[in-house]
Amino acid sequence: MIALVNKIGDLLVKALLFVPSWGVKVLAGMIFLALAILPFLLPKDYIFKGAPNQKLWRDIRFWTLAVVLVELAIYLYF
Amino acid sequence: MALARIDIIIIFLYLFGVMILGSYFSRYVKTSKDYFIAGKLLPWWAIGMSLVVSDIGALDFIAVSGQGYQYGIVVANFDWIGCLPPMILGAFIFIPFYWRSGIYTIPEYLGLRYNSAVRAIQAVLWGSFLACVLGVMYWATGLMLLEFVPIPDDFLGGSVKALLYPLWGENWKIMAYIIFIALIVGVYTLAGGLSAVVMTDVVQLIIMYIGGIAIIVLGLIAVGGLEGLKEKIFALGPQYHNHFKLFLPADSPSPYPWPGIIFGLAFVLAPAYWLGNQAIIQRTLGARSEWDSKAGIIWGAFLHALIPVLITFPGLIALALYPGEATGDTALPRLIHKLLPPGLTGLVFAAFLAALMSSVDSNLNSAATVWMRDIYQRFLVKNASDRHYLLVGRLLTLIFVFWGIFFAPIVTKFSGLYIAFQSFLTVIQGPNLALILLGVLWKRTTGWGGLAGLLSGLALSITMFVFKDEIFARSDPFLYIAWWSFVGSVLVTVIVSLLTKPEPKEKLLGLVFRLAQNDAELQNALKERAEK
Repeated sequence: MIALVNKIGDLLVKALLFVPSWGVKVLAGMIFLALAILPFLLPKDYIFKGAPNQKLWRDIRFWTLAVVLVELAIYLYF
Repeated sequence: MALARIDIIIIFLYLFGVMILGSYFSRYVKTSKDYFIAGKLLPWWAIGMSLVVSDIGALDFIAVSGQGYQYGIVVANFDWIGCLPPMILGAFIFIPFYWRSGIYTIPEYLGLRYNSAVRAIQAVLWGSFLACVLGVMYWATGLMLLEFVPIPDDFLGGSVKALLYPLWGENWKIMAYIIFIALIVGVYTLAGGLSAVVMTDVVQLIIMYIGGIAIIVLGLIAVGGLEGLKEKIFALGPQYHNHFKLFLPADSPSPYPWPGIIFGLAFVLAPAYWLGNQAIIQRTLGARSEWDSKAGIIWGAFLHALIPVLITFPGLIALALYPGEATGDTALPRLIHKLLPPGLTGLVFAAFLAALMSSVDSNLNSAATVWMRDIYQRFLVKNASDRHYLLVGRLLTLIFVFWGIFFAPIVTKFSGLYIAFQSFLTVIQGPNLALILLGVLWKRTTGWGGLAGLLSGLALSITMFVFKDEIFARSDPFLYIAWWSFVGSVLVTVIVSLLTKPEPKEKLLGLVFRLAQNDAELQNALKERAEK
């Protein structure tokens, strides 16, 4: 059983070696972009639910966008 | 390391200030709700700051900078891709459901969503972990503090040794630090509950940032800026050429190849931690509104983006300045010793204490909450008065303060114990995440499915952990154990759920994403559930 698991593991590692380093960066970038877009797909009422008002600075979708862009830049640089 | 008089004054001012501030919040504690979830009055800015400082302990400064020294910037993934994605998902999808359902603990949510058996297993797992890990935290804290500032045998005329030596022998110096810290944290946590924990965290984050930034600025000046840092490390040899890469190849011998980082960390361990760890989640449950709970997490994510700079870069700076160490664990103490002037050393030391105390107080408060809410109130004394539960909550906090102190030296008696607690999270996180994800996102998940998924996931991760040397090629495969136990748990939960009877809609309202059609329907469902 353990020998079989090892064989499958080796095959997986070999397959993953074909993914170039830029491919992994693209994958990470896609994760970040998806996270930046996700809040904009949700209804505005849901975003502001419980907020005392709907002023622009309270729109946490833009907070999310800002922090995602910061980390995206870090992942592109390194 | 010798501290100057100014350093000692700064440290004592900090400790005294935090204790007074924390104790001040006792005036707002009138009910068990005030004590355990701050009466649902916490503002977003305090939640965000508390989230960050509760996540980062003093050990992170030492251990992560050590790992940075050894493996490079790849360890920063734990605080970048290992934090932001689950925090965003938590803010917009998961936490609003926890907050709305009025729960105090994650096992409580799982109990509502699945059944009492799932709640009981989760409560025992988390309750035991939070209690036992206190001892581990205390011991590591005492060790670290003693390394920074040794206590002389004749400290306070030898009275401290005379008092502690008969009880703990050669460990008396470590125990002196442990008792000192445990009592300070214990006083304000016992008095003010979650409000005190969160509000002292706010101060602790500011101190931690000032201290951390001071090391980085002085360190970067010493190595000639970021470019100078890179040049110096690359000049050490080809084995250091990956030190500025966030993703390492799949066959990298380090514990952090990219598939482990993406699949194990980003997809499993990080979401399980940020969506299911009681010590983290509890402050979001105390938010004054649903918006504050969401905004607090995003604000926390923003503040957290700076953390890798504070805890990984000291390791890289130490490597550039003092290469050739076998492990990097001495990297940060050496930087502090060599780079910081008197006064700033005290501030950085206070930053360590801040990181340390904020993790201990969160753990203490959460341990008391889980034991009170999910074990005592659920299974032992069901219908007592709120005053009774508040008293028991405080009593439990006091018990855990002393439990931590007396359990700490036991950690050293069993060498495997320390590693076991460190690995415990790895073992339970995969199945935990499976239950939370499927519970919130898929209405077809049933109580039986959840129970089967939890038990089989735990069995799988324990088996992988026991046979890890035979199964995995690398020495520390915790990222892969988390991933495969998650996959196994999801599969079993889905299969058993499909084979069992669906849960009635009224049981799921308010607990599953987008199931309630409107707010009135949701509020009615929650009210009915609360009355049962």
